[in-house]
Amino acid sequence: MQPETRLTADMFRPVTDNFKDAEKIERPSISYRADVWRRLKLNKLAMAGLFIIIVLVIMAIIGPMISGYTYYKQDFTARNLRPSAEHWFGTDSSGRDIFTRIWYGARISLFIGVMAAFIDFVIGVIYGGISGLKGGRVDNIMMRIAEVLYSVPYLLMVILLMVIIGPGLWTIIMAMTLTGWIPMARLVRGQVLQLKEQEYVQASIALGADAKWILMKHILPNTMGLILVNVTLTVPTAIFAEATLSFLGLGIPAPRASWGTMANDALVSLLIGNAYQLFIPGFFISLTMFAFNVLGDGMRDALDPRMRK
Amino acid sequence: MENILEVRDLHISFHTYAGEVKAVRGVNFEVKKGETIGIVGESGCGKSVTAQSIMKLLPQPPAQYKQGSIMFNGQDLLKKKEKDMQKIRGNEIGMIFQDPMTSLNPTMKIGVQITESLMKHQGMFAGEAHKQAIELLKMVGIPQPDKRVNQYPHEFSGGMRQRAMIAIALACRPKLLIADEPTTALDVTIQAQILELMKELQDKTGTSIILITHDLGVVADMCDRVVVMYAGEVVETGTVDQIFYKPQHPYTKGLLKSVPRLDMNKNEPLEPIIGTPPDLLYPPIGCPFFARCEYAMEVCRNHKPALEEMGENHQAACWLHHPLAGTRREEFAQ
Amino acid sequence: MLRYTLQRLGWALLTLWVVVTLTFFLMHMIPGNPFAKEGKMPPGVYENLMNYYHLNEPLYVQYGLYVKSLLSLDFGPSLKSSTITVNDYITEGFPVSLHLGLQALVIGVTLGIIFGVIAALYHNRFPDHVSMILAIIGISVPNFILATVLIHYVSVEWGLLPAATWGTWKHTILPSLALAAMPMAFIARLLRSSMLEVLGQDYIKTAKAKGLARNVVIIKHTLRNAILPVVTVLGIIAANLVTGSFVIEHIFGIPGMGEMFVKGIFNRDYPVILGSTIFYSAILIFLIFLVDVMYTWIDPRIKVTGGSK
Repeated sequence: MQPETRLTADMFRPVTDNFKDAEKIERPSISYRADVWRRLKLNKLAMAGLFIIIVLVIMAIIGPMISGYTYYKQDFTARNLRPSAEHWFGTDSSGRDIFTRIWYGARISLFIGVMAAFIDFVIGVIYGGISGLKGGRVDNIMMRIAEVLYSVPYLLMVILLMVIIGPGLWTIIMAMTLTGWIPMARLVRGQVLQLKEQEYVQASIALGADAKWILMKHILPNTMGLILVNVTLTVPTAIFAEATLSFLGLGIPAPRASWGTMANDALVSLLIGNAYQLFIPGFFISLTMFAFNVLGDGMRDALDPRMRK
Repeated sequence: MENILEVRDLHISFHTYAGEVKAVRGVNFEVKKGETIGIVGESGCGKSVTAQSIMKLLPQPPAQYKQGSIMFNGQDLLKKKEKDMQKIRGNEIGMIFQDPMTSLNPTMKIGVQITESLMKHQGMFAGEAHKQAIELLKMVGIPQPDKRVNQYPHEFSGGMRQRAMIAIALACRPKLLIADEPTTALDVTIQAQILELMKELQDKTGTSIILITHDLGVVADMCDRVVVMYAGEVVETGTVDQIFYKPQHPYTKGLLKSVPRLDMNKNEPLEPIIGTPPDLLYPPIGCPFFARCEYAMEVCRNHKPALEEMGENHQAACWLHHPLAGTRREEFAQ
Repeated sequence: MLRYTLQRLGWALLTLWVVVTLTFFLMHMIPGNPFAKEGKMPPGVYENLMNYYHLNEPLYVQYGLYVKSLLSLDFGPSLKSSTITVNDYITEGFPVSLHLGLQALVIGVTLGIIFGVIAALYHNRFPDHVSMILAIIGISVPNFILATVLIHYVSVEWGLLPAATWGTWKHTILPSLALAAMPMAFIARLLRSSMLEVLGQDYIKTAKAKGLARNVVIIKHTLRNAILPVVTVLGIIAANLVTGSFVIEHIFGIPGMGEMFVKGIFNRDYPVILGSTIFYSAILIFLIFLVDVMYTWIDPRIKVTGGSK
């Protein structure tokens, strides 16, 4: 409300400088990428997840080095010890230091998780990219095949494969990526079909670009966000699958340890009061899955243009 | 003629992450029994917010009714509790929305969406309500109403869907119908049909209509009186003739000039109003139209003009009508 | 409609055939004779195996005959004893697993829906945050870890419920809970975002404008639209329950099919593994087919026009 002022004749003189404000845009504009990143940073839970992942990776690297023990040395005089100053996480039923084994296992579990997600990503992008770019019958057939493969109960096949081939780091990874690439392929294909119609892609084709070029230069940069979300959310699935396999005795063979095999070994100890041996790896599995899940969720929300604040 | 609705000094704000957006800043108007008034203005001028606020449909955070009154049937709707508002909505006041594609529940039959109202407000039983629903569909001109009543929205065409929406809104014979851009999403030919239908129904039932639109052609066709809004304020009101032939506000004049007309010379350029509406996070202190006005004066910069009487039923808020306005007033009169 | 149903049935059968074939040939990739256990085999077992699998015939004949016996629902003899067949294991174990699975499904779906609706209605307020944190934990903590935690505290420390085996209804509580956690969390999250999307739709505004009471609007108008995506996800949930059941039955010592499958894996009882894999696959493929068809029945947009999604 303006104060009651007396209006004078001079105030009614014409002005022409009013137009300069006409097109002024009040709020600063911000690029899409910067906005996505800013929104992600605001998401405290997602940032916590990211922080946890970074800490886990660091500990996976330096953990076994700082503990002073090895992951395989058995010491039958020091079996089933509770966490203490000498053994920060205690020892297992063979006297091995759990702290060391946890961080050694971290390397293995994280490696399997990330590697499986990465392989899914590569296969998925290639398969989906080709299917989308070719279009027509090729696309149809490729998608049908993918659909049938996707319907095959995945974990059952993995179990079967593990039983037959026998456990081992790369066989686990290979078994897990059998059908895990299909959601990624579907995503990339959908994006390709959409972006294919854009004019800048058509122009590129007219200039003689080949499929690989178009994929790399045009499709991927625009799809990167969605792909990253998918990859981030695949990691916990892979870690979970590995843990389940280990729990069925199909995991990494001893003496190497993944969190899953450690939990499995400790199952027996549960009822005789050594629950910590199972809860510690269990905790780390859950923590890791949690961190990747909230990070992936946060990325997905940050990318959603509808949630723009 | 008595007023069935009186909106006085309405102020509505939205609390957003960026701050408080003052969407409606002191709106006054009334609706008489049986008349059709049109509320026109650009996108973002507050007309839709005003319309939805009459039935208090705005979710209360983030919206806030800061000030003012909405008198309906002698009662202030802003002071009513939610339970009481539910008795009024769909019963004494009905509303139809812009997009008939998305305004109907895709998983419910059309008939059920009508009978819901009837059963709740008029206490009808299912069988009776069902019959009434068929009657209503017939009334709005939907062929084969007894078959259509059991169909789903996606089986209707756009025009038919809007007719169904009208049937739902008018089911309980409300005294007031609020139509928020009812024809914007429709083809031109269907538009004409829907407007015809609304006029017909109004004649039959005596319902008053508030028509929200940005289309002056629709206003000319349907309305008795017009309320022109800009940046959350009412800048001019009057009868259709007054507004179209003797606009007293630069904005109204600008709007009329920017509409393409059939009797224009085809080489004549269209004259849009330059610029964009102000950001209502930081609403202008003076006249809201100042930054885009051809007839701007120094006083307009920091002093807000009030709505003044220009004649019978005709009001405008502009400093041009102040006795001290000199040359600009002559320019405007041309 | 009918055409779509038949189409999906065709795909389901095709997928099942792929699974059978894949499994069969995978089994025969095992070096040596998978049907010969190391060490002594109980008498009569070898004969049964020979009769059922026709191990002396060429491979394609074996395959053909195997498919034939599957079609007559005969899953073959086990490695363990000459009198027990895989069919016996199935008929004994399946009802138990079914009970467990259904119980977990009901708990998971019911609670998931409740939490999802509450979270959506109290969007960004306390109940929403609580529900969502619980949900994230639910999808991040593997079911076997949850199971062991439950056993440790509820059974061992507090002695409230039995830890193992299967007998009274009390025995079913902990395993069902452990199995239901993941589906519940998944559904809660999905339903929440689905509800939020529906609540923002115009037709909800219309419903409010008709003066309908809040509860009516929510349940009648919102939920029936929001529940659709949840239906599509039931297939994945079922798969999850199946694979989860292996681990849960194993931990709790429940004599269901899952436990039998796990034992078969440990013992490398290939006929059992083979038979179970196919049986489970058949169930899952069939369930997914059911869910697909059910969805077209529920969504009127598809039901009436008869098109496929």
